[in-house]
Amino acid sequence: MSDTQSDTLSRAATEGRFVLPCCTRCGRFAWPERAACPACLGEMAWRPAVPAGRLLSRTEVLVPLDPAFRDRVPVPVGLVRLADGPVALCHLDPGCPSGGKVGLALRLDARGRPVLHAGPAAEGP
Amino acid sequence: MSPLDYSGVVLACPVTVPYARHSPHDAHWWTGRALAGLAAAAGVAHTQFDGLALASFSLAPDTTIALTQHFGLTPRYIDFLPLGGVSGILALRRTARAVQAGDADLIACIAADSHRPGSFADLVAGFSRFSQSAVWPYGSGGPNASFALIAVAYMDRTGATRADFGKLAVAQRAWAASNPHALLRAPMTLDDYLAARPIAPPIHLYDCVMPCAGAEGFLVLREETAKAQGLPFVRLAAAVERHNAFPDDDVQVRGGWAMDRDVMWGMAGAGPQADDLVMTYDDYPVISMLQFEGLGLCAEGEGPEFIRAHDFGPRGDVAHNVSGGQLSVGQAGCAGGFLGLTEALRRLIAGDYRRALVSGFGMIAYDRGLGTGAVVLEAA
Repeated sequence: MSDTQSDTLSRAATEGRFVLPCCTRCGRFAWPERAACPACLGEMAWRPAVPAGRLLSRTEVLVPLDPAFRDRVPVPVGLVRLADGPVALCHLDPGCPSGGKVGLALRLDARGRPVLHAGPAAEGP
Repeated sequence: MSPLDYSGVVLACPVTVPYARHSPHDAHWWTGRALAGLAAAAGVAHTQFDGLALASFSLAPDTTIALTQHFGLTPRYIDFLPLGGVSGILALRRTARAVQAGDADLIACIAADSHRPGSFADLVAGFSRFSQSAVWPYGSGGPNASFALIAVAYMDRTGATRADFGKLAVAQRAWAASNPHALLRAPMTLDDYLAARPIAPPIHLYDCVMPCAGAEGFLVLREETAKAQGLPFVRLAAAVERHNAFPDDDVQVRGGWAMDRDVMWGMAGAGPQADDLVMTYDDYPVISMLQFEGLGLCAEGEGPEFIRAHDFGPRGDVAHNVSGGQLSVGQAGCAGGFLGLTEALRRLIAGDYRRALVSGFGMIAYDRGLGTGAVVLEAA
């Protein structure tokens, strides 16, 4: 599944779909993408997931290691417990309530990488 | 089944190759200096080491086996432990059993890493599969951002403040004044700490360890061998490790120590009240607080009260990270996972303390530190 991760996620991001790796055997979702389900070691496949979660913790990256981020600080990021189970590190759009519900979306970043964004739940990110 | 004890196994010859902020030398060179230091301290030729356990992030494409040829060793035991903050505890735990069982007699345990401008960013960028796909593209904050998220959750849960973290950092800097190996020895006040540049709030500059080049090492051998060689030594009373503990916790607010500490204190014969020296893995003060809680120096969630109730400086009541820790000495890659052990060895051999608790922590592959471990060392 790793060979096609970028393609699959990029396509989903372009088409406005929200997908996550899901176990074909027990149905549990996992993140980050991995070679087998941590609960039952079943094979993983991309499945539509609920684009919602709860913001657990947040910070702002002020000193990025990658020079590509240096003219875009601060970079707000946070850990989100996804409605489907896993914890995901996400970019935070303005207005995310600490400890509150957030909406999730897949987007392509400036380098064309598919990344998760969290935003206020009501209007979605 | 409870573990066998470590009777008959001892540690000797703590070696620190003085650190450098940046180094033109590679990790192989630093390993060689540590090996030479161990041979000199033991009074034997390095070719007499029949075991080599090596921890490094920057030896690629080599591992321990290539270095046997590099340095002219013919060991019957090798191990490679590129495991950061738990590498020292794990090297000791493995080599102690090898010596006890007779698989080797005299094992050199070494951590060595080099550092040049840009090499830390390279290490972080490729640190794990998870970090490549699910951390680096999110601002590339590295461990500073990952630990900021952990620190926020810890502060929310316990009421800890930056001043609590700062109290530990300031105390360690005071200890560093008497450590010639520390790269950061200038006095630091709590105001200095609080006014430092923000990196990823609540993490500010003096919460962070400084990447550098360096090496640490010690020998693991049988007590009778140490006596025959006239080497001062320290006994291993207990050792535990655990990885990926509590994987379902939202954000990491505890590590694996809580799963294993009862076994450790049972092996050691007495709990933490019997330790007069505590060496935690201080890659961020908040992580030392997780260790105080996890190892039972205070109850879970009571780290801030523990900090406020004690003095951790050179004239204080809790002797903690008496080298100045990584916060003052610097973090030479995997050597950060050995630093507490070598300093504890020195202090116990010198007779400054009787029993030391040394704790390790490390390896954030994604959102939390995976490895935890701890040992109890006793003066002979």
